Amino acid sequence: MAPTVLIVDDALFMRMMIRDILSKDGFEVIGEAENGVEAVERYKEMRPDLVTMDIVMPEMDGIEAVRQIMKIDPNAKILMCSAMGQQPLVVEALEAGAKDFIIKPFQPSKVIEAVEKALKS
Amino acid sequence: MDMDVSQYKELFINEAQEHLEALNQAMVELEKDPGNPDVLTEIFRSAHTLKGMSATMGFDQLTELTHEMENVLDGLRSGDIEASTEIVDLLFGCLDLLGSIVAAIAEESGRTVDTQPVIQALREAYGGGKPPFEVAVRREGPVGALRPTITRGEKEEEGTAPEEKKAETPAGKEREVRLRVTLDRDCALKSVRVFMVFKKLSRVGKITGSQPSMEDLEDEKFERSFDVSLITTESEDSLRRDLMTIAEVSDVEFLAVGEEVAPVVMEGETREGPEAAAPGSGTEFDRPGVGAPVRTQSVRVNIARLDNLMNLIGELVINRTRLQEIASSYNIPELKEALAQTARLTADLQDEVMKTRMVPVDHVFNRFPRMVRDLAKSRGKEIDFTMEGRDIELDRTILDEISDPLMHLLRNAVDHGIDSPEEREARGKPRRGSIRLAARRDRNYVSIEVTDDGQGVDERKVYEAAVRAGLVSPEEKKSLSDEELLRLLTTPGFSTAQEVSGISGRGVGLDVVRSKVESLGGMLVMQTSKGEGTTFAMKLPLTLAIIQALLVKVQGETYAIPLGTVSETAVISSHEIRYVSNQEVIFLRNETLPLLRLASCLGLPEDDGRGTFPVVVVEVSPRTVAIAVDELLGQQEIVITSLDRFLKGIRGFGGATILGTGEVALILDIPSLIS
Repeated sequence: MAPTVLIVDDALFMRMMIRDILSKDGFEVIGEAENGVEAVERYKEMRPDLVTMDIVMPEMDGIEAVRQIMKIDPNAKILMCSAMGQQPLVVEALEAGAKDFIIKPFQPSKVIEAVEKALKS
Repeated sequence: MDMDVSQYKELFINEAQEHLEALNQAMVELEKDPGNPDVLTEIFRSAHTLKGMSATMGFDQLTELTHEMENVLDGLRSGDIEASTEIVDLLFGCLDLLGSIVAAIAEESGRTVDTQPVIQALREAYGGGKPPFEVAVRREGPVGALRPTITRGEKEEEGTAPEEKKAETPAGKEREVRLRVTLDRDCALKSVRVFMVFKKLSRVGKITGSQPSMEDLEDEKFERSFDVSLITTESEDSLRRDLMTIAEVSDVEFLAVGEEVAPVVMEGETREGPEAAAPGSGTEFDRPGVGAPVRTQSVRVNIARLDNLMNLIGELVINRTRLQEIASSYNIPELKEALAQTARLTADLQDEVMKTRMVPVDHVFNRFPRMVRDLAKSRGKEIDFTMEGRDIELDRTILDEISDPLMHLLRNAVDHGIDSPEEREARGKPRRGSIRLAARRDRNYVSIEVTDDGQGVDERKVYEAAVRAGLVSPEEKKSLSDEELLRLLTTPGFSTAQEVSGISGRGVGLDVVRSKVESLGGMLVMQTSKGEGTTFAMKLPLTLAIIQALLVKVQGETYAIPLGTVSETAVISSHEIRYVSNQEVIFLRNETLPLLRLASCLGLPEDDGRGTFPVVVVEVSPRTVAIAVDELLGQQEIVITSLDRFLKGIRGFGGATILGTGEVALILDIPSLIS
């Protein structure tokens, strides 16, 4: 069965892009969320194999969402999506339990590599 | 491997524009309330998202500009920079520039925008203390923030780490290994990758050294590889497996121990990930699906697809009408019954599609606060701008069409409606003028009003200008009603006349506003009171595609008159016709109405000999006219098909429709017909 993914990003444009990259490579995108609060709720409902998580979002940012999801499921596999200039935030997210990160602009090969590696870890 | 991003362009442009609108709105808020951290956070977030999107699409100018803007916003958040007028203006300028870049991308015009002056100004604003942005390199410059984070992490876990480590240590021989980690050639944020490698290794052993030094690694002073010495019990295979799960780690090699490794200055013993803290809380599993709130999902649809859907439903309605006619002429009760049900369903379907086309007026409204602010500033006026009814919905097409006319009305209100602070004080009014933009739902209409508390329209000056322009004869009465004033103001040709006369520009372009509103099947109304202010109201239909119409027959041809303009029908006998200054008129309940013979209007032959004939009384403010026709056929729902470009210029027709019989009927454009 294809690994399931939840995509979290406040920009529809970004969600579409990640969805396309992942679906082309045989991952099943089972949900999307546009802020941290939704992300946590969706995680509870769907229990995806992997979450891609934007950092800067309204309502609740990606780092807090990682903390909450890790509380719900310590084995959660979360991949941070970061823009340039967020180095400290990426480190903070990794410390909060995120498995890895990808940097915008996304290169499909990097995204797939990070996703596959995170699923294996 | 670069991906083809062109397919996302449309989506990008839409979303970028949304962000720019949100930014503009938030900036107006910020200007009113400079310290507000919530507004700042919102601005920062939008700018940041825009930056990420732009970088993904490879729009470097946008990326660079948003990046610099972010630095200034950062300064505002931290309090290093004050939200002074200059800074706010600079940020507004930056938004404008972003807007024009996005527009250039949308047009595909290849038009270039010079961003350097604004970038320079932004850099000066935050003192250029941060590293300049490098698009080509696509990675961060050295950032000192990594190290404190690591140190903090260690301190937090100081107490628990040793125990955890003991528990995790598997049976095996403790030895020193030396490994070389190679990162991808185009690895971004190398220092974070180093951090991840160290984090993983410290969980399974004790790091004793690295090459290059920890400090250089953090500053990214290395090419692709770095070496780490580690005392551990783990096998090489399992170490490699573990490290290879980090993205952008392309290889892990093991070196012979004994090669020179710089002693590492590690401030702590081991580093534990958050997993160390997690086990206690790990039991809090929430059952999936329990108490999950119901959420509405939405999908974006191209407007052309909705148009198409509407057309299909239109044809369905036509066919339904056709079937109904067959059922009547052959008198088949079962068919009639089935068709009654079909009628209900198509009506529901139509209703639903109509609803999907509705968007809140805020889509157009949201850019006005910024516009009014800029305009007021440039005119030296003080204006409070308020908006009401932003959630009122209108058909997307109508909304797009009224955007410019609305802008026109607002500009007029700022330019000519609101008086200068000095004049206002002299009149005993507050210095600050107010402009209100309000949308209201009125049965089958949406009314959008622009109200100012300015000087009002000067009736005398309009009258004089109109006399000079030859629009009214000097003998005509001198007191004008609001409707008459508006009619003069919206007469094409009046605008030039009044420019000469020096009336403060009222009327410039108002004719365009009126004709646009009327072409949408709506009407423009004005109320003014000298010295107190003016209200312009656009009354707009909810939708365009399907309307109720009165079908009439002239010379064997069927025409449709939009029911919105019809006030009544009557039957007149020819001896009731009177003449007033060579114009045929009729009397209807003590009112004198000009009579218009549709046949002669359309250039058709007329048969005169009839004693009685029906008239349709139409009202297009301010005129009421009786239109003589041959026959009234009845009221029906019609689907408007616009005339293509060859027929578009013909005066008097607003479109065409296909009737149930398959016959094509032209839809009369009453305003242009009677003006």
